[in-house]
Amino acid sequence: MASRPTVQQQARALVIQQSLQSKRVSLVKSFGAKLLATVQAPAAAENNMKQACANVAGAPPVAKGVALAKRAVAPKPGQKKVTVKPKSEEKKEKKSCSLTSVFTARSKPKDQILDIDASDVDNELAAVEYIDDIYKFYKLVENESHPRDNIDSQPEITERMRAILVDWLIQVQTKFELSLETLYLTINIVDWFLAVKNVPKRELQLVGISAVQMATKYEEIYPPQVHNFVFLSGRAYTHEQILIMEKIILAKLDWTLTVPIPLVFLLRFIKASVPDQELENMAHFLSELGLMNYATEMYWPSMVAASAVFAARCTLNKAPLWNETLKLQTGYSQEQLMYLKVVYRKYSDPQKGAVALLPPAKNLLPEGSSASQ
Amino acid sequence: MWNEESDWIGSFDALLARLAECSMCSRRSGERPGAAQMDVKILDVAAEGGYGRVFRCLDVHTGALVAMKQITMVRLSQGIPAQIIREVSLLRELHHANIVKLLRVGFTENRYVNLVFEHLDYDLHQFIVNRGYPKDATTVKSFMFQILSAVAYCHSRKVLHRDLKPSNVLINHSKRLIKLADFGLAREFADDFLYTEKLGTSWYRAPEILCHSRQYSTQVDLWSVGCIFAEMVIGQPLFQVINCRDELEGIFKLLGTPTEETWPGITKLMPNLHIYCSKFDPLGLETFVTDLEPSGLNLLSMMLCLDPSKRISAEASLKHAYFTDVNWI
Repeated sequence: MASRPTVQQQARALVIQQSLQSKRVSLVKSFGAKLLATVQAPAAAENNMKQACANVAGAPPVAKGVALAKRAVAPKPGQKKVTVKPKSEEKKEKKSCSLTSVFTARSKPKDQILDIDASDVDNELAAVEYIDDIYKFYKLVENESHPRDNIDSQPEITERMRAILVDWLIQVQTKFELSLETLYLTINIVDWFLAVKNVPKRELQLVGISAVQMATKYEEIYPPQVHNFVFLSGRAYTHEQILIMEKIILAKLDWTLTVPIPLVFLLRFIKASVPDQELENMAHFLSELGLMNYATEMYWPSMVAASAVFAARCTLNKAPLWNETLKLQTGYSQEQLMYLKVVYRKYSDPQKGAVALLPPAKNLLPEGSSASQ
Repeated sequence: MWNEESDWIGSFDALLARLAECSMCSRRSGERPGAAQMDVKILDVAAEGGYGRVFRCLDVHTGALVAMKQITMVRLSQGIPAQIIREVSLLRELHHANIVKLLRVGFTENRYVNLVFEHLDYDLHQFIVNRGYPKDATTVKSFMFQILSAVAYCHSRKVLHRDLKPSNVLINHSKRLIKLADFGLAREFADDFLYTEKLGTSWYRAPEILCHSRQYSTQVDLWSVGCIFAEMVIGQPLFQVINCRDELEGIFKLLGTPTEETWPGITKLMPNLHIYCSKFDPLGLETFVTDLEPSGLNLLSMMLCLDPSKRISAEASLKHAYFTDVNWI
C-alpha cells in the first residue's frame, strides 16, 4: 500500500504549485492593477481631501470602520459584549476586488460585520474553534433532515390534527420541564414518521408520545419513565404499545435522530442579532408558532430560524431590520426573507380587514397578566 | 363523516379514551419488529462485558468478517436504552476513516439490541498489554494522529465521545489503522447544556468531571486522549502508576494542586478543595513519561492541562510541531 505523503512533501508540492500559479496570474494581475488604479484615483483624491478638511477642523484622523466599531462595542445593559471587525478584515483571503465593488465603495460606507464569537474566545464551553465547521455541516445536511409533504400523503391525518398534536407536545414539554431541543426533535421525529408511514388518526397521539419518549432519551439526562407517558395519554395506550411504537419509529427512521433542527440555527441567529431579552423571547415565540404551522415544513430549518429572527426584529421595530452580520451568519439576505412582509402587507390591506394590524389577543393570557409579560 | 371540531378541539385524553386497541401496535399487525435477521453467522465470542457480548461473525452476503455487539436491555420496561439510541443515531451520521462503521441494527427476542460493526483485529488496550506497547515512536505518533483526527472530526460535528480509553480504540493490524469505537456515552453538545458527571472510565476522566462539574465541553475528550498518549509511551495507565487514594489526588500529585490562579473557578467548583487534599507541588510529567521527545512532551502537557479553558483542542493538536514528520504506515 502506498504510504501517505509527509507534511513536508505536501508543503513542497504546494509551494511549487503556487509559484507556477503566480507566474500564470502575474500578467493578468498587472493589467487589473492598472485598471483599478485608474478607477480608484478620483475616489482616493476625494477621500484625501475630506481627510485633510477633517484634520484642519482639529479632529484626529479616524477610520470610519474604527469609529463605528467603538460605538458598537459599548454594551447595552444585559447585552453581551461584542467586538466589530470590518468586512475586509473578516475575509482576508479575498484580496482581489471587482470594478463593481470599487464603484459601490464610493457611494456607501463599508459594512460592519460583528464577530459574534469574540466574547466566547475564552469560554471553553462555546467550542469557538469548531463553530464554523459545525454550522457549515448543518447547512450542508439540513436539506436531507427535514421532511416534506408528510400530511399530503396521509389519508386520515390533517394539518389541523398535526397542529393540535404539536400544541399538546408543547404542553408536555412545559409540564416535564424538558429542553427546547427535546421539543424540536420530537416534532421532527413526528413529521418524519408521518412522511414515511400512514398513521390512523386515533394513533397520532401514540406516535407523539413515542416520539417525545425517544427525544427525551436522546437529549435529557433524566428522561421521564414510560408510566408517565401512559398517564399522559389518559391510559389510552398501554405501556407495551408505547414501547412497540418506539421500535417501529426507530426502524422507519433508520435510527436517524442526529439532525439539524430549526433550534440549532435559531440559537446561532439570535446570537448574531445581538439580542435583548425581548427580542430573544419573541424569536423563540415565533419559531414555536412556526412548529405548529404545517406550511413551515416547506422551508429549510435555517430559513425558518432566520425568518423567526427577522419577524421578531420587524415586530419589535429593530433598526436595521437586517444587517451584514445576520446575512453572513444566516446565509439569507433581507430580500430572501421578504415573503413574510408580503404576507403582512397583504393582510394589512383594508380589503382583508387589516387583520395584521390588530393588537394581540390579551384575553388569551392568564388572569392578571399583561401583554408586555 | 368524521367531525374535526368535535374530535380534536377537546383534550387528547377524551378523544383517545375510546380506543380499545391500536392497530399499528397490535400483535396481529405484520410490522412487529421482533427477531430481526442480522444476516450474520456467529463464529465465536470476541469479548464480554457488563453491557453484553461481542461476537465475531461472518456476513452471510459478503463473507466478510464483522463484529456483532449484542446489548442486553436490562430495564425492559423502559424500552430501548438511551445510550443505544444515542450511539446508533450518532454513528449513523459520523463518517470518517478513523471511526468504526456501523453496518446494521436489529432486535432479538425483544431483549437484545444487535449492532453489527466492521471487524477490527484488536483494541489498543490489548495491543499495549500483549505486545509490550508500541515502543517505536513512529507508531505512537501515527496512532495519536489518527485518534486526534477522529476526535477533531467528532467535535466539528458537535459530538463529544466522553469515554475515550484504549479499549475503545480499535486497530486494523495490517493497515496500522486506528478506529474510535463505543459511542454509548457520546452526545451532541451545546454551550449552555448540563450533562451528567457520572461517566467515563476513572483513569481517563477529566479533572472537571472528577470535580463534579456538569458543564463541560470538548476538552474532556482531550484529557482522555492525553491519558491514552501517556499510556502508549509508558505501557500502563498514567494515573495508575502514581500511588494515591483516588484519581483526583493522583492528578494533583502529578500536576500540582490547582489554585484560583492556575485554574480560575476551581474554588467555586470544589469549595472544600483544601480539606479534600493537601497542597501538592507538581511532580511533572517528565518524571513518569520518560521516553517521549520534547515536542511530544509539550503536546502531552497541553492536553493534560488542569484548566479546561487552557487545554489544547484536537484541531490545534493536529497542527502541533510533534506531528511535523508524521508518517502513515
